[in-house]
Amino acid sequence: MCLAIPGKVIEMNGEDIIVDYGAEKRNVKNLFDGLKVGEYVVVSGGFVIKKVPEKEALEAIELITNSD
Amino acid sequence: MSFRKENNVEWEFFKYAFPCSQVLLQQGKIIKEEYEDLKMKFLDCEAPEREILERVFSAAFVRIKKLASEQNKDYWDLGIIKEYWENYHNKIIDEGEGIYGKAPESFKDLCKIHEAEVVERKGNMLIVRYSGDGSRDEDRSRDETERVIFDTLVKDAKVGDKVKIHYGYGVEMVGLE
Repeated sequence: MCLAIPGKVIEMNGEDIIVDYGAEKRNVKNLFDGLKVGEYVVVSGGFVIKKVPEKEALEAIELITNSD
Repeated sequence: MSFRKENNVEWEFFKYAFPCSQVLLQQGKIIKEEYEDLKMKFLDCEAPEREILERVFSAAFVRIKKLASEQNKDYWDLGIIKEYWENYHNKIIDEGEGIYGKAPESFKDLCKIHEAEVVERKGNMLIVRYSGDGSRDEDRSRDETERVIFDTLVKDAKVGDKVKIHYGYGVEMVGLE
């Protein structure tokens, strides 16, 4: 099944942000107004496509980790 | 010209399925080379062969075959494929099949097809809004959800237009029959 893996925003410099996935960090683009460091996001094709609540992001990570 | 594949059944399947393939890559279910092949096809508005589609998107085909057998039709029937993406796909997720039974709302929402309104264009990206994803977040109003999507298949979309979305892509314009 294809549940997206979320990451945590750890650094922001205009549209360029760094997202932490635990095992790796990625430089991606963000177009959302008001996104803040510490928030969780889903990335596709190098862009943040959606902000997700922290509680749900942590649930999803746990679910994905334990489903393989 | 760019939609020469209209009513081509493989393309009808693939245009909705491709946006999910980056998640398959992220989860290691397909390899980078395979993902790049799929992406190149997608950008050319072309579909891979059936054998490849059925292997990469095997979970979808389990459901499509079920839907087809219920109606006594071939699972590569154009009507079946369209019906799958129009109704059946979201219904399966809402009913909580497999991992969807435990998945948080804002994640199931990414897997579902939505009709969204374009609120802003930034280069080849569109910012769209659609009705709330039902996620639990005390800090924010969740009546509306915002998504950023690639305009790859909806290049003509303008602010105010409605588009069908899946993950990070606009898949088709709504109301342009």
